[in-house]
Amino acid sequence: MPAVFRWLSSRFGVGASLSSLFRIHVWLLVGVILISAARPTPEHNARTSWYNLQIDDPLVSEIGADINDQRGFHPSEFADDQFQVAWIGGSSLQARTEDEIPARSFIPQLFREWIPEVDQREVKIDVYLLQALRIWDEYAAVLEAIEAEPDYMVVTLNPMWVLNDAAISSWPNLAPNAADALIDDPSRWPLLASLASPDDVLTGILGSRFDAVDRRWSYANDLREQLTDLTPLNRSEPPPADGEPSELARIAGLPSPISFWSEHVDRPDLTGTEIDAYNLERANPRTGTWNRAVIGWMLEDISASRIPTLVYLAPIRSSSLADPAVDVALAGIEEQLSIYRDRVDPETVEFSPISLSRELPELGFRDLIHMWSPSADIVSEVIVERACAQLTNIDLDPKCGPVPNEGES
Amino acid sequence: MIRRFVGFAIEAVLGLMLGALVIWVLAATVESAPFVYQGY
Repeated sequence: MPAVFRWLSSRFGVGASLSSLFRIHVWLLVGVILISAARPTPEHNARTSWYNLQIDDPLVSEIGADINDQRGFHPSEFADDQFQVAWIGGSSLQARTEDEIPARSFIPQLFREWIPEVDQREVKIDVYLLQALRIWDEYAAVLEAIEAEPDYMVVTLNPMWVLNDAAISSWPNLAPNAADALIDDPSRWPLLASLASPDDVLTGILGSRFDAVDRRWSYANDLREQLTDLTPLNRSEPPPADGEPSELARIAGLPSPISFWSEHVDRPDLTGTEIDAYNLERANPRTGTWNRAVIGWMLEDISASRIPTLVYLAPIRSSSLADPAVDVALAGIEEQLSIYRDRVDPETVEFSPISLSRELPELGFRDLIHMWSPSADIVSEVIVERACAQLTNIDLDPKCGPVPNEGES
Repeated sequence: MIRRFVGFAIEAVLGLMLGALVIWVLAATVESAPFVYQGY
């Protein structure tokens, strides 16, 4: 190959001068742009996701993308005559029964039943819902939501993760877009250097300028489909396992190292609500961590956007809160979060660092954070009250009525 | 003169091929890792 290049260089001047190298790079960019335009990717449509099939309301969409897709979220799309709400949160937005996630179990959907209109515009909610959403993921989602310029935002903080420096991120695909949004502010560079890889920064910046880079996940899916037949791997179904696997084989089959270590957490021998108190205590290091920086920046960025926003701390299981040790641990998290009250613009941001559990009746939860299905109605009612008061205060006209189909299961 | 224009054309082909290669590499390096739920 070098001989070919030497021949091209000596005979045709290809790559023999700076101007030639410059022209080749210009053609490279032209190629990237041409392929972006000429090779459309499959539609990036959120409506077919499993969550959206459960939500069953065309005006409430879950828009989280695949965990390998650097776009992070599906496009947030609203009509001009709609009141746009962006709701950022994790699994605490969703209730379930023992066996399933029934209809009307997503708090944003219930919220829309209570508030169908604001300023005579129908409410449309895009839910930035990602399971196990950590604080860095939440910040990335907030940045994405701000870019979509909604009329209103709701941000749900999870008491287990908001201050927990042992788990800052679980959705690495959100880093490229966050990197692109934060790169202009040098004060955020240490955060980027810590939580985003050079690859994230590069593909984030390029992706915002070139569709071909941004859509790489869709291209990859296309490629995989075409290359499946060429793979030398034996893709036939393995024979059924003969009896229970050995312990070693079971461990070898775990999906990631964290799965093994989460089975072997080094903690004292605890039972019942003692475990909840221990976990909440560990979730609050009370020292300077990235979590604290991220919370401060997130609230500052929300305030700077001037988008009216409700930020609240998700409720926890009532029966756990009745344990004084859990109460103290939760109060510790609330106290730490309350420090950030002065980082928000009170005109546009309603920041509630006190857990909703403090004002709710006893509710059924299946674990510390996740509620059983009937509880979602009561939790959403409290959130609706706050949102209605906030929207009214800023001279908007929310239609805050009783749920029209109340009693439906 | 002709050789010079042939050189330009080769540069264009080379650049376009490099552009396709960049997109190929970016697509080929996308992971297909499953989401592993780690609690809450």
